[in-house]
Amino acid sequence: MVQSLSRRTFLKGLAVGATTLALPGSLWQTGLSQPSSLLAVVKAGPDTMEPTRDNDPNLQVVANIFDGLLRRDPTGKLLPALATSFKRTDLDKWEFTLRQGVKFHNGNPFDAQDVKFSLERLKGDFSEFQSFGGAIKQVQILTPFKVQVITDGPVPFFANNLHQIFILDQESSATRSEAEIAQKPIGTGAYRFEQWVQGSFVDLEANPDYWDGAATIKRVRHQVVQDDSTRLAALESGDAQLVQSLPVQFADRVRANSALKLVVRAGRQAIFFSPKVVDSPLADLRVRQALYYAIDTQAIIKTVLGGFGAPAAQVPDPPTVGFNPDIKRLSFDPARARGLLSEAGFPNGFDLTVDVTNDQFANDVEVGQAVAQFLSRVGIHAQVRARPSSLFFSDVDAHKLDFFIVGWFDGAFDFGRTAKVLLVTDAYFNGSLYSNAQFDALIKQSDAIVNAQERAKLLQRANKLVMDDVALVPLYYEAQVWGTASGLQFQPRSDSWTVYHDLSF
Amino acid sequence: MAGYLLRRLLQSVVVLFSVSLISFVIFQYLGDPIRTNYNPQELTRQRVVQLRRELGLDQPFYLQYAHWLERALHGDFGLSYRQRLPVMRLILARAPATLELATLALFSGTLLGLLLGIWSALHPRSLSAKSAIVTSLLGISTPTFVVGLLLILLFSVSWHWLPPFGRGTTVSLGAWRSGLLTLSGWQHLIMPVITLGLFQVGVMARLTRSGMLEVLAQDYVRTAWAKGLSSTQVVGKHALRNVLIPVITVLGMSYGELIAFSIVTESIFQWPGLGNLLLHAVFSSDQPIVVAYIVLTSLLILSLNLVVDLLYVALNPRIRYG
Repeated sequence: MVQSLSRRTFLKGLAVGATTLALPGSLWQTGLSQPSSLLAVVKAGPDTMEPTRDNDPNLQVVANIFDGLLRRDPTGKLLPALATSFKRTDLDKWEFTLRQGVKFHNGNPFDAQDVKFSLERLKGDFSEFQSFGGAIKQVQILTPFKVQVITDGPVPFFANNLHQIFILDQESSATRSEAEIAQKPIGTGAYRFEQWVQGSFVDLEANPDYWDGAATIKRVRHQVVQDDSTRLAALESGDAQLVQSLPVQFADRVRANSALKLVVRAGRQAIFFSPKVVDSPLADLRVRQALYYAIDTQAIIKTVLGGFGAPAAQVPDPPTVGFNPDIKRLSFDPARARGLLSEAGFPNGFDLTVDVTNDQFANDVEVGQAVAQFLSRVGIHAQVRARPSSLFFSDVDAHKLDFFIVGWFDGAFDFGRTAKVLLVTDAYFNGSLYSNAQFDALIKQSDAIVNAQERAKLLQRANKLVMDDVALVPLYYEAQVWGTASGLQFQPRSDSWTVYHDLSF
Repeated sequence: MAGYLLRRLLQSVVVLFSVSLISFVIFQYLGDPIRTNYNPQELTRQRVVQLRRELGLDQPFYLQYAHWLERALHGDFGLSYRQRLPVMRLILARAPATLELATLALFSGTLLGLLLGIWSALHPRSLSAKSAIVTSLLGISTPTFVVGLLLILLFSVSWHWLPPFGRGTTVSLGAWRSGLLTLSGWQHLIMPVITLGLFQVGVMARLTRSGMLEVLAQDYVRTAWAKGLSSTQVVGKHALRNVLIPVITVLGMSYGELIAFSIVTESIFQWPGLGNLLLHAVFSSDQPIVVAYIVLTSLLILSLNLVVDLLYVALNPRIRYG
């Protein structure tokens, strides 16, 4: 991305000159400048209006149009939504009491039929929640406002995932084609869908009958602008009142502008490196510890990320079940790293390729270069290899890489779910071939516990176990950086979604 | 003439065939589209196997290509991996934005370039002509993204005159969503058209100028002046007609170039056209979109070149194809 780099520096240099040229008067208005309407600019737009797509650019749009049985507040806490309460009645049984008097945007009333339909629909070909949907054995309607879900074996995080499982109207959806549902969504959410121009914007209109009170911002245009500089321009020109994923190199410019506000929040995604533990020097715990001691995460955050990041000591973020506040980072200690390497029989280091993507995470290439430099300082002959994610992931899956970057957050806020995909023996995304019988047993055991607190404690223990074993070298949580008009009341969410019901001027 | 046409059509078929084959081969080395298009947290080994089968990725390369070719001949370019919608529908939905932008850039750029070129050929020593030629050089050599960002910085950020992104209010004429029928649509077009068309102005101005200088020195033009014809007739009728032949050749090629260049322009101005669709698809290894885009763009360029070659005959009766 040499081009975008030079583009940024170019823009920075010009900025000083151009702002002095400022002329008064605006010949052009968006038509969205009334205080009750909002133009929000995001980096990645939706591919579809289908509510069962498991990626944030889609979810953050449909989360405004639909409701789940549960939802999350900006801190990540689970709250009632279309279900007023729920309980886990057995290892594989969940009971939900539904909210009464809720209407879909087409006027149809919401009841247990819609819940049954929406949960069973997760198994469809178009759905990306197929494995979650596949774990649902049966949805029983007990009364029009009470449902029981029976899962196929224990799914301990079932309720924890329901903030991203949205409820559709059974009556109208049954007669509409999948393609039509994916073009014109009908939900119970705070906003009605108005129109979608692919690759450009989605228009939303506040639902006056919303069960949680009509939104204060009546009209929203959810606009995609991929180019970093243009996204900044949208904010500075006054067109947009909210800009997501503001590039960190522009932070100072936004701070210096009194009409704008910079909003920063630690994000959910942890960035770490996975060491391959089979047929590699990294199979030795002392070597993995040495790598951990050798990397100065604070310096990477400060220099590469412009200060926008928080050091991580583990994979889950604080609202995730299994987050363990007692896990502390190993200190930055190059001398100790050298000592451990000699102890392990590598006094002269060894060759190591540091593999990173060049299109997946913010500043991934630069982070890889910094990590390689820190490793070189303790005598490891580290080389960086940066590649597009499609090529990188093929090699991760084939267990070809020795030390590779991973970014992870659990969409269901559950470390048990993460472990099963990423860390247990033979897990599908266990690219490092990590295997720890004690850990596997703990994760298995956690499935059989109904009590949520007991289960969380067990997951915390499992979490500590893998971190003590340096199954991965954690670096930092990516920060979310937003720019807003100074008059906008905006509290960023831990999941980084744009939920417009929460906002006001 | 008929023989020539037939030969050209056969050549086009060969070109299209090779283009599609090459773009197919490239994707064999671009990694796994499943990992870039599906969230890993909901994937299982079993599901990945199933997806590979559904998308046809489990088949050998030559079979994948044969199936694709068979469907493409029926106008079906398959489903996008990411959006899971027919590629043809996605491309048709985005095409009007790009075609409006590229066509406007082509015509406004060419017209301005022609006028500048003629002017500077007629007054080669005037200061205005010299500065026009220097400016045209600037237009050719300045990278598109610099021009685009400069315009945004001045006209959107500093002066608030023009909107920095998008197409504005569009009107649907059947399947064609047009931005040419509203004021807001035109306001949104100005900066992208300048950004995309600047190169065209430069090329056309220099081409016209040099052609004009050459033609103006020829005997038949001197004769025309000597006959006492008005300058409009000499320049407009006698000289320009001969200058136009290379200009039209370049025009045909330029349209293809403009559509290709529009990727950068569309990305800067978030223009919801084909360039943006392609860029997104390349990053997520969405092979069906990329292959269809390349094949359809090649088809467009091939047809334009054919039309241009036939136009020569109309412009210069001495040219004959046999």
